[in-house]
Amino acid sequence: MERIVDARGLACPQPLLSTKRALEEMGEGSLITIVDNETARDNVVKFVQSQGLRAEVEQKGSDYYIHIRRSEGTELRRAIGSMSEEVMVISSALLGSGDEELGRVLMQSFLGTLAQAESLPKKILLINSGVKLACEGSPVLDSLMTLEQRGVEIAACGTCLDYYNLLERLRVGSITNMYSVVSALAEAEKVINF
Amino acid sequence: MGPGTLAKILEQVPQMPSDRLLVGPETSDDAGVYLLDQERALIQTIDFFTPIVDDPYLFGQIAAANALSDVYAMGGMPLTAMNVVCFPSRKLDLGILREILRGGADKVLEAGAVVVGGHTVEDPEPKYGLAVTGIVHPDKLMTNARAQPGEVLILTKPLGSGIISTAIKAGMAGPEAVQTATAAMAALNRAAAEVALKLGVRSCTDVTGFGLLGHAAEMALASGAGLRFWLEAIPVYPQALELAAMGLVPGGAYANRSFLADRVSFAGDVNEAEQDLLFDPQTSGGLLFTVPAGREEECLNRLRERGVLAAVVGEVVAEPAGRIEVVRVRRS
Repeated sequence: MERIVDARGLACPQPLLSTKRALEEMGEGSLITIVDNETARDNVVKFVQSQGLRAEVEQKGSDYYIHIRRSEGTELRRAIGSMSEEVMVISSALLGSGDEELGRVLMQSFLGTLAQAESLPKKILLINSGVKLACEGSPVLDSLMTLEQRGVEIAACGTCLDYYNLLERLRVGSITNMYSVVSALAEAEKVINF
Repeated sequence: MGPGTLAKILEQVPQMPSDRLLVGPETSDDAGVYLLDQERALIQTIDFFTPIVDDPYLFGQIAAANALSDVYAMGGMPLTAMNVVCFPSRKLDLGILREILRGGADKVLEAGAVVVGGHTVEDPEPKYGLAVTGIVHPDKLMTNARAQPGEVLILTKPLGSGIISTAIKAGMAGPEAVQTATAAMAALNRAAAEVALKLGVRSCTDVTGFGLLGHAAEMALASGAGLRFWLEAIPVYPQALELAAMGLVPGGAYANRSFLADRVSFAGDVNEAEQDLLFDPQTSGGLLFTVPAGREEECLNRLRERGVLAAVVGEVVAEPAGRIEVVRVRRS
């Protein structure tokens, strides 16, 4: 069956969004997006091509019919915005278990690399001794500051800061409570635990 | 409105020649400049638009930074500003309008100017901006008509704010792109203009609705010179290229492209997304100005000291006059 998205009269980026939604919903099959201006036509075609799919444009009067085919098993590429729904939970100041010094070095190099990475999590939650990473004297303060500047929300567990007597020494990010931690985890598309 | 449409309409409106008009509409510059006496010229400009970010305070800041920029681009200092407001006061919470105006007021304060009043209109779609009046010494006036072959081009903000604004509307912009672009849009061009003035720059424009190449083409035409850009040297907001390749390109970019089609040439290896970025209409974009070749390092250093991350993005050439060429890398 052929699906039709009639995006005539809609302003950009609406035709692209309607096409994106239809492609996500239908799995496989054919889709026709109808638009009534060249900007919408070119933008929908660019979007379809960026997903590794083919688009054929047919002009009917002043409208453009964009024929799109999605065959079985073709994965849609992740839209950029959706990358941001990732939450990273760091529950220790050391990375991995084993030698303590090694754990410290690994965490330093991990956060240093993450700070330069192209795709970033939306949030980093610091729990238990993980909160020490964001406090005065931590060797990874610079990396966490870079991450924060790049738009990553950094939150440290208040109970944990209190337990380690570090409430006054937090240098990056905000203090959070268990309620916010729970809702951040519930909303997250993907949770990475350390 | 697209540059082509506007030019056609203005042709049919009477022109007003005046001995005192130092910069009028005919060179498509950023603001009008009117000579008061030997020491002083008046700069006037207006700019307003629909919200481009959800946060009303931030929107107010961006709209004001954008309106003030035209004064800086002429080498002037803003003195007074008037709010221009369209707002559906019966449909939207008035607290939103308060935040917009607060954002605008804070930017005007930062610029050292004062808001002296304004005008509001009931409108289903909110719009905000300012009419700004500034002052400049006639000898220090920077215009888009003085680019000289042998100079290089400096750009003081990255490109891609139109594409990122479109992606924000679509909910497809990542947090890093949003944060970087909105912070830069809200930043005044004051420090950049002050550095340019200290260096004796006489040729400057700001990059706004007609995109980098649109404003460059005006500069080329008004100066009777050609401009050559080095694509790899042009700073771009994070993700802007990917978003352009995904079709999050504002209609204005297509309008700019078709208006400039016969004045711009691209090297064969410049792809469509890269071209879109160069035509992308900017909100509160950076200054584009020229300095003599050899002084670019000094200029970049001074800008860096003032917190402005600028780049040398191209050069002024004698031929072909009035045209723009985009190559991938600088050729010595």
